[in-house]
Amino acid sequence: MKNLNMKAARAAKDYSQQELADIVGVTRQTINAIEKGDYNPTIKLCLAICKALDKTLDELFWED
Amino acid sequence: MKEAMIIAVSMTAAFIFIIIANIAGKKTGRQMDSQFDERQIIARNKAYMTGFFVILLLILADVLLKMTASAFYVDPLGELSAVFIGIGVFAILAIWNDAFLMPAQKPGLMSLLYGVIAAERMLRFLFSLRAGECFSEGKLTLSNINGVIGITFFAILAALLLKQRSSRSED
Repeated sequence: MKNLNMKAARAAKDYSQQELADIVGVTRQTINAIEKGDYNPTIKLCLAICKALDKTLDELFWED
Repeated sequence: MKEAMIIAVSMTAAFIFIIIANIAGKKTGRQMDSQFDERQIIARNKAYMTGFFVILLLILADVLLKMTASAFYVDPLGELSAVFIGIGVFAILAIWNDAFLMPAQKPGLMSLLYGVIAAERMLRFLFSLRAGECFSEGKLTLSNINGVIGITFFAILAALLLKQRSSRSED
């Protein structure tokens, strides 16, 4: 399932996938795979993304 | 036979170098894998498994051909080809899953390097073919390994270029 919350939060911060990838220390393709729902990140990476986007885990990764 | 010795010694030297570099990396805290991100490490592990399985299958086929005395090549062309094809499978799968290059590595430079290796090996193979060194007593000789390496590296290069292209269109 696509992670639209993360995509929206990234867009709100005006980050490109590459910029977010550089901040959290992964490749752009990994950020792309997470947003497309092709890859489930570890909790460590989820936390790094949350910190970079100033969001909580629930806001980015909890599915209603 | 002399060429087989040179290949075996070079491959052993390369393996020893990799092991030493890995140990040195662990001691200084700069492991090669730490440069790959978590998704890449998982994708690379899957690619390693597939590459290793391909090597096993090809070695098995080589053993069967030798047991039935129907091998159409001299030793150790079969084993060496199996290793290079397995490495090629690993590389192509890793490239296809964006797990071949570390984030800091430049795909353009790597493509150039693979292109040079592929072209050099293919030229050597073509020269051997022209000099009639590729067949002896109705069997493929070890000179054909240059062709196997050349084709493997061309396949890796093609995968790198295709992936670069699809990555650009994704951006």
